[in-house]
Amino acid sequence: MTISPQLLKLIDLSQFMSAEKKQWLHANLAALPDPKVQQLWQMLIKEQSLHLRHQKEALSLRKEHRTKKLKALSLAAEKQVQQSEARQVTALEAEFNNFPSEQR
Amino acid sequence: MNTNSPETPGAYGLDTVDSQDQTPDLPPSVEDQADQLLAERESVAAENASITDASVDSLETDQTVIDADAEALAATETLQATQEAEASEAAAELTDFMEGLTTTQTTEIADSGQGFASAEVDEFSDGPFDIDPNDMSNESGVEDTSQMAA
Repeated sequence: MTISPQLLKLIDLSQFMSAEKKQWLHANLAALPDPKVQQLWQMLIKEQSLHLRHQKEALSLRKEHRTKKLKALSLAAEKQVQQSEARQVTALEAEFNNFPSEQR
Repeated sequence: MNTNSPETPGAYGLDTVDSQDQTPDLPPSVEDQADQLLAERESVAAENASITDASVDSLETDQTVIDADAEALAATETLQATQEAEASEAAAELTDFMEGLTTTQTTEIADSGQGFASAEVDEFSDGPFDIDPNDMSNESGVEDTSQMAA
């Protein structure tokens, strides 16, 4: 029986299968009956679908966090600028108030 | 029943052409699924690598930024716990399948003589090709390569 390269790739990518089991499959895959091979296909596709969904969920969370973080950083920067400006105004006002009245 | 109607499989002998085009042991749908999964996998990995963490050191201590980080951390931990539970369940299912496969299949392959079954090896040692280590006459006609090395 011809072994599909995709099936070999799915076996190699499996995170649930031990190295020993992968070796066993590489050695015995050609001798397995078709129903077992079909079952193996389904199980490995299911595993990769699960990993892919998990990766997408994690990616979505990262993107969401990044958007919130950028917004938070933007607000923080804006607040920092406002505080800096407020401090400058306060300093100028203090300087103005401390200035001798006859020199104003 | 009219077995020669166009709807009947095999009508006019056209099905023989279709069946020749199909790969009997590898359903295309399964390979297509695998191709799609592998392509998506690379795409997601590339997108994930392209996202850099947003940070500005001087602003990291701002409460809004701290809150955003804390919220993300909590969400990540919740997601990881859910994913680990799902992965654990799927891993157990695959492990069970593989355990069953390796156990029963090793026996079946051995019994059918497809692998290096012990019966097959025994047949050689007891059969017509049995070689007597004390017989140096080399009547079997097998070329003696021991002299070639010297």
